[in-house]
Amino acid sequence: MIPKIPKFKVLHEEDIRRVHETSLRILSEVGCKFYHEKALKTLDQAGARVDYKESLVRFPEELVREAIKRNPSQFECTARNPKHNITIGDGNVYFTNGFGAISVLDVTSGKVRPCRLDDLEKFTLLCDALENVHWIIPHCVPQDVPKDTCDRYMAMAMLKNTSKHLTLTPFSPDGLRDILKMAAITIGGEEEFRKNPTIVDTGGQPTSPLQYGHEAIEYLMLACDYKTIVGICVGPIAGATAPATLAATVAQGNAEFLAGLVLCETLNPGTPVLYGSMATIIDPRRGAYAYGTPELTLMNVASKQMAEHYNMPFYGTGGTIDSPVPDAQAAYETTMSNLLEATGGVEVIHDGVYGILESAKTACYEQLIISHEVASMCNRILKGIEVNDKTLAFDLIKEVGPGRSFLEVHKSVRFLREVISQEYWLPELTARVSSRREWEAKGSKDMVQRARDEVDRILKEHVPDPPLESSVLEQLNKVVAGSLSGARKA
Amino acid sequence: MVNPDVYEKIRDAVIQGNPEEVGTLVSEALRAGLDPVTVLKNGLVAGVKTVGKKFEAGELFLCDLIMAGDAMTAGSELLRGAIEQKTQGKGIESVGKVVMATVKDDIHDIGKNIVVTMLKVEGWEVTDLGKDVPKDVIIKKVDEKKPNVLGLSALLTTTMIRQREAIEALQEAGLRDRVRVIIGGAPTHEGWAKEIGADGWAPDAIAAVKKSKDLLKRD
Repeated sequence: MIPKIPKFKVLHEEDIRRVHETSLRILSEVGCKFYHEKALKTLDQAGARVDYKESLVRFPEELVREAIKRNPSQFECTARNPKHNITIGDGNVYFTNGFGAISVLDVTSGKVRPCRLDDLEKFTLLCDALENVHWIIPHCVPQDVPKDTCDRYMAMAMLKNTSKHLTLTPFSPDGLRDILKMAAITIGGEEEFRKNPTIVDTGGQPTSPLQYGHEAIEYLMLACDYKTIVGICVGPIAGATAPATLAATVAQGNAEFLAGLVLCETLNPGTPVLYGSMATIIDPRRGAYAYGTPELTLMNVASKQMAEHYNMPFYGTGGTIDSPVPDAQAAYETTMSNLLEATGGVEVIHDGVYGILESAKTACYEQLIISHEVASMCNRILKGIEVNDKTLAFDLIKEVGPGRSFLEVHKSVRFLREVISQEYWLPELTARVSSRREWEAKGSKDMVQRARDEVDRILKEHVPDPPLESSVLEQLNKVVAGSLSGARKA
Repeated sequence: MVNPDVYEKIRDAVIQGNPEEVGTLVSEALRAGLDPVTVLKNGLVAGVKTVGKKFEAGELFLCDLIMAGDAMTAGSELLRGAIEQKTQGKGIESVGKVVMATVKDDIHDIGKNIVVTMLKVEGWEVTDLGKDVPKDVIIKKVDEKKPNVLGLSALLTTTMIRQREAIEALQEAGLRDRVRVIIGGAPTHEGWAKEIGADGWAPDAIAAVKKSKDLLKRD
């Protein structure tokens, strides 16, 4: 949905300038570590100041400015079915599902169990069906497949359950090679994939403060080679991996992104690098990271403004939840960040249709549906209020006059019927009962129970459009089997 | 003769997380000829235990705990010489010995560092091997330090397998029976601990300290 309302902002112009200047100072005076010989050499040749012994790179301002210029301001994300293609940076706000849970909550029994491969399949299928999930990311990490080749199993589970755009996550450089091979198979092979690498995106994340690990750099290099969309999602935690204040955390995260951007734009100029953040705060009482916080929202909107300053789209984290159950807390947490980031114009809300509880740990089917309802409500807010002669309806106000209901006048009722679909949010699951009796007659189901019914319905009825052909499935299976025989037995 | 206020003052300075103040008070106590072991127990340890309890109850923040730990370290460094003299070189008695490491390829060490702080606060002798630690370094240190417990941390789903590799390496080196292994980190879980043959798993720092104590009791 393209926002039609004034944007929500948290930084003033002067703040943006100061954050930018601080990030540049961090990059030139403090530097960022790259634990990778080839990356150090690449950056050295590009004009950065490299201390090989410390793996430390300091960046002159011109180098950063040049990289910012090289990064495109719009990225096309293609999908196996072209009707799901999206263009990031075209003004729309898009949502993904949640990322990387390791367990699943069974709401009926209240028990938490390890996530299985069929959970990833089901979550992907649900996201394929849900209209406000525009881009699907690995919802959970199955615990019932060999760890060494888990990434190939995950790619398989996702590729066969959706025709939308996908993020596939590798667990090793070999894994990334296999995953890209698998994505290529679904669109007709390596040659096609070289021409159209935006069918998947991948990326490499820095480790705050100011470090890129060896594997993350390997991922970035391979992704830049193919020119897939490269996500760099920074994750500084205020008070732990960044200074305690939000301003410093935004500036440090911004510097971390820019450091990675310079590497990518040096390796392969024009590579679409997506600026992402999952900056949040430490829970000062326990030391764990807290994910459903107002501070996360503030820092993500601030980082969105930084990305906008650089003329780049932004991949922010919203919709996230700390509550261990799909309760009222989960509902307000997922709503607040989604709503404010959507109105802030965040191009992709990573985690928006969350479906995960307990600070990214425990997946929950019912919550996915609930967060989806929230995303739908956000879209209505983004549409705003259209103001023109017709919508101001002066003539109708004059005709009906003081004291009469607008349901008494035929013309006015017709007007209502005409504008319902444009003006009104029409929820399917949110309860809007005029009497408690009506709700009781339908089984007195609360939102979690209604969401459960919806999960069951979709899983029973939905199939990806189009499904993967059996010959393609066979080739994918060969890659998975090959990786198994290559890896040591679990 | 002995002013009980001294212990209370040291305790308070630890609770306040003030290493300078603790240093001054401990030096004064030593000059006044107070028993260093009593200064440690009634002053430093008592203070840090209070903070530990309040932290567990959610009344104090992690930063309070870290600062109290720093203050205690400042005081015990000053006491070390005097205690060694008094105990004929045995030094400060510890609850147990632990070696801690964030496994190879993982440079996320915040969680491990919190566990290290809490173990120190609880009186453990901790050898912290840092982050991105290869298994041969872990083996070498276990052999050398002879710890009761080895703690292995991993934050990434991709580095969890290094925990298994470290345990296998311990086995190959014939050291597995000499040490209890406890694992932790966001993607880890009880089932994973069982699968790779660890002796215990902890979901957070407080649980890690409790688990370490439990494992010690079994020795």
